[in-house]
Amino acid sequence: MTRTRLFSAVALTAVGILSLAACSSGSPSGPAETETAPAEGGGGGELTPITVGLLAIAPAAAVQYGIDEGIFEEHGLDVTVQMAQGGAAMLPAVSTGQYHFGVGNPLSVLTAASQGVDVRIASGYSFSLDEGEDINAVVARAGEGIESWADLEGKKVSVNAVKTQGDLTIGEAVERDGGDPAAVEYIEVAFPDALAQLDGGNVDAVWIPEPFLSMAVADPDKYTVVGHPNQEAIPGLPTMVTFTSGAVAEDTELVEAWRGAVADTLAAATDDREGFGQTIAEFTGMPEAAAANLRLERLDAELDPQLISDLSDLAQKFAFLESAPDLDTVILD
Amino acid sequence: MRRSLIALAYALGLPLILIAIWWIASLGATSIFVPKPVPLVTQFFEVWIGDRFFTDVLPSLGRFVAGTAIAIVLGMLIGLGVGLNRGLRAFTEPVFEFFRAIPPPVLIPIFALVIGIGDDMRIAVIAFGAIWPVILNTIEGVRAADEVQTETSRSYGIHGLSRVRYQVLPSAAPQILAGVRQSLPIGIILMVISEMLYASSGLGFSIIQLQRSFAVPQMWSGILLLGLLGFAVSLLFKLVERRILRWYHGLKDLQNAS
Repeated sequence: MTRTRLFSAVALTAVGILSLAACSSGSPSGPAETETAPAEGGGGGELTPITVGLLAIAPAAAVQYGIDEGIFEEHGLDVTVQMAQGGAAMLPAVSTGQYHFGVGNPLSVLTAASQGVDVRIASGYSFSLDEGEDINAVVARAGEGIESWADLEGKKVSVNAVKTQGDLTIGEAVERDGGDPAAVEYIEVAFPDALAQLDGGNVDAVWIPEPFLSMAVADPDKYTVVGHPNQEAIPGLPTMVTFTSGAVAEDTELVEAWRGAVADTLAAATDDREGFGQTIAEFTGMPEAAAANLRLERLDAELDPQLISDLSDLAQKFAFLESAPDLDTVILD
Repeated sequence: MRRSLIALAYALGLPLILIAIWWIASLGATSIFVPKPVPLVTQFFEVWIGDRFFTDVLPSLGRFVAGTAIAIVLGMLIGLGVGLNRGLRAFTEPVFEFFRAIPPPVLIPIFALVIGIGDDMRIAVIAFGAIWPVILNTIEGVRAADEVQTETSRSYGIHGLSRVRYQVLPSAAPQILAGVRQSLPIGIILMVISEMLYASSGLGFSIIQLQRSFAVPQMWSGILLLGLLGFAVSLLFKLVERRILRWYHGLKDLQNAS
């Protein structure tokens, strides 16, 4: 009895090692015996090929880091990365099944869901810092009298895209400060151009994330930080989530594998700041020194559904969403 | 009466056939990304007749009219000057070819830094892109003036501005208008593209906005509006061209008839 158990354990291990070797040598499929091998511990079964949509921004580089470190492979996933222009552009590809998963901002997911697109949030990804110096802020020219949220009334404020997280949280911050959010004019300016447009006097304030925020903070004679709108509106706001759709969302095993891989990846990237910095530099093309010192949002696969619910309520209040999405469906169990 | 009915049937025939094919093809579609004719038309009225007409459509049209008007007037002036002067032509032609080759959309970020991000930048982008066909066609048109005609004007003592007014412009008009015809769609394209960056209003801005908020039929209705706008502009142009070139078309008809 003991002998047979020992024997099968050895056999299984051997099969596991063999199939790992098969995988690393680029064989498209492992030997047939691996089908019977237990999936636990990873490397036992064939890798499931999946396609993931990413944006070319620093936090998204964590997925690349996880691929490079073999974390996705450990969870049985063979990931192909597709770069997308924006979160909204990624959603149709996810909803038609071209991409298995996407990493993008949760407001786009809610907007799509409220329009009847089948899209589900699979896990958390990155979060705004709920206290202290947040990773995005509204910045104005120093000494021109824009000191508080209410001062933005009647002013031109740049955001990267209108009707997304920027103007939503700014609107809420202005309202809480006693100003009229409808009296703020938002202009679409890409983040890298924002400070130049502020210098040129074409806008009165800009909403910028890192690394541009640090550049502005480093020059207090020129710029003043009006505030961190995410902290005013929804502290710890999820800036990105991972999402999926349709048949992939129904595939519980795949979703679990994905969640596990994302959780391990984000934890590993947070712990290995140096290695992650190098991946960011390669992934986004920013200089290595800048990537190493970049202030990052909190990376975490855990998602408090309350935050999504708060975001949905806020978006309805400002009429960004016409109808309430069904959060029980949108947030995948 | 009968003839105009037949003409109308010819004009509407292809659009109706295309819409019918589209309608049948999209009958079973459930994806919200597939546009369907009926919701698209209802959305068209809902989206564009109302507030948006004043906040987006009219400003867009204003930019288009201002930009292309500048392009046409400036293009004709420069084209006349260069076309009439051999030295100036040799001097400027390489530079024209250089600037004409630059796609105006890549200039938007540069214009935005130099001019700012207001309407003047958009009008400048439209004018910059739409001016080349007018300039180059005007130059060609002026150069192609009939030698005998020119000699005749000279011997009758017609010089300077009157020669431009009564001989050069009329003889170059068909080509100048061909240039204008090319510049109009370029103006519309650049109007849309210039509104997609640094924007807070306009047709291009709205269409991007609708696309981002997954309002798919509404977005397509914006594209429909752009198509109708292009159609209206070309109709208007035909009317104007018919008037200006009445003599020319009359001549053509006679030549064709003979």
